[in-house]
Amino acid sequence: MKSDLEDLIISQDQLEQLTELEVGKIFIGGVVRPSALRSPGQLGSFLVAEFSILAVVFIVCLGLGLVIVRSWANFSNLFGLIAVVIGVTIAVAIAWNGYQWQRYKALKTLSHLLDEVDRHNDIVQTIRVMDELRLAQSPAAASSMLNRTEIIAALQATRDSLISALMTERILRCHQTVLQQGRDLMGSIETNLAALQALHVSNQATEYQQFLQEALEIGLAVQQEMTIKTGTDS
Amino acid sequence: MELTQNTMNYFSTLITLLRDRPSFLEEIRNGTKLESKIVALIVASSLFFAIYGAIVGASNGWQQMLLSTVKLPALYLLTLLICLPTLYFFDILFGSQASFKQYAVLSLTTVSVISVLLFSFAPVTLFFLISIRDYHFFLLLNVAIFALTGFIGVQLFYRGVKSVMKFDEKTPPIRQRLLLFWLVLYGLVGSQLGWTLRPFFGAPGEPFQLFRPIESNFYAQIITSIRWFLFGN
Repeated sequence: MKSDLEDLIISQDQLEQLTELEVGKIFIGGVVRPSALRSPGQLGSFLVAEFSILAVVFIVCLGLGLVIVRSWANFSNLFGLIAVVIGVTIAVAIAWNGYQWQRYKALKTLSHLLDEVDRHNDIVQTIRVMDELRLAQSPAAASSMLNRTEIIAALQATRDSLISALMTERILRCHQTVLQQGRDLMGSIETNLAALQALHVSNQATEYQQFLQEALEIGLAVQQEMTIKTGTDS
Repeated sequence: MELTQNTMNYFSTLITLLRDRPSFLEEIRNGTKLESKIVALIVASSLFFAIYGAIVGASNGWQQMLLSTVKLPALYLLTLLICLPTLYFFDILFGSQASFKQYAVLSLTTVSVISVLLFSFAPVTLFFLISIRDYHFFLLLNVAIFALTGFIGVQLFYRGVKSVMKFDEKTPPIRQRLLLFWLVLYGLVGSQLGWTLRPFFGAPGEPFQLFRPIESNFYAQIITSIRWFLFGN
């Protein structure tokens, strides 16, 4: 990957550092990301994770049940015990999902921002593939790609916006009162959005228009999300 | 593809623990991804215990096999559940700064190492199960396997705690003694719980049993089996 594109990717480690939470494709800080449930592959992973945890709960509850009924005279109703343990496991599943929903409310903005980060990273990856394809077809053409500088600038602006937004979200999440730093970062998001709009207008007729459009959409989504968040918290 | 990748994450945590223990312990010390480590180690070790449980249970029919599939992981997880609060509260009382999650991951590393070692012994156990139909030999073989894996797991835990908590000459000696006491307690609780939950593999010629009557104790039974194995009575 070209170094300029490498720098544009927002890595998982950076995300974890910025959010101070464990960030994965399916969970953020132990809470399910709704976007994970929309993709069949990730939905499958979520179901496997949920099933695995419930299987462990079932095993531990059944073990505990066996220890308890051990002291009961003439106990032989194993199926009754299994039915009770299944009931307990279902109750744990309901409680766990309810708890997830409660925690998700606090991480809703972050979840949306992480979806935008994924979109941003996808664009960077697509450009990387396009670069490689062009390089394979005509090595000489690789260095003279039209408007490449503009798209890199646009993605840099998107990246900065996303990072500012993630920092703002973390500050607002950790400190419920609105801080000055939060306002400064919000200002930076708006500046980057203006830069993106300017780039979009000047490149409407180029081959990278689709990417600029997406970068602009990400920028708008970030601004919208943070406006809602700061509005709600202040 | 994503499904496989995410499922494999449980096992990759375990592989990291086995391959690169210093980095794994460093991550525990820094509190990196503790929650996902806890989930991954619980799920992966439960699966390995369940497989080994199924093998030892298979010596006495499918019912025993199914029951041992549940009993063996339950034995190790319940032992940990019973003993972990003692370690945590006593250790913080004597000056430890570590969080409960760090203790949980550290103790789960023990359980996970034991589960992997048991799983690695599974082909050997299966071989003897098929080739030698001798209850007392099978019992002693498994006691030896459980003792060996338990000893290795506990030793790694001891070293792990000393590394993560940065034990040095300034560390109060009581904390080291406390750790040793806890390991003995862990062994005693585990063996008693195992005795309570038995049978894990049924005796030949006897019908399926959910439990055995509480009689004698674990150590007396081992002596009986050794005598039976050596002298035939």
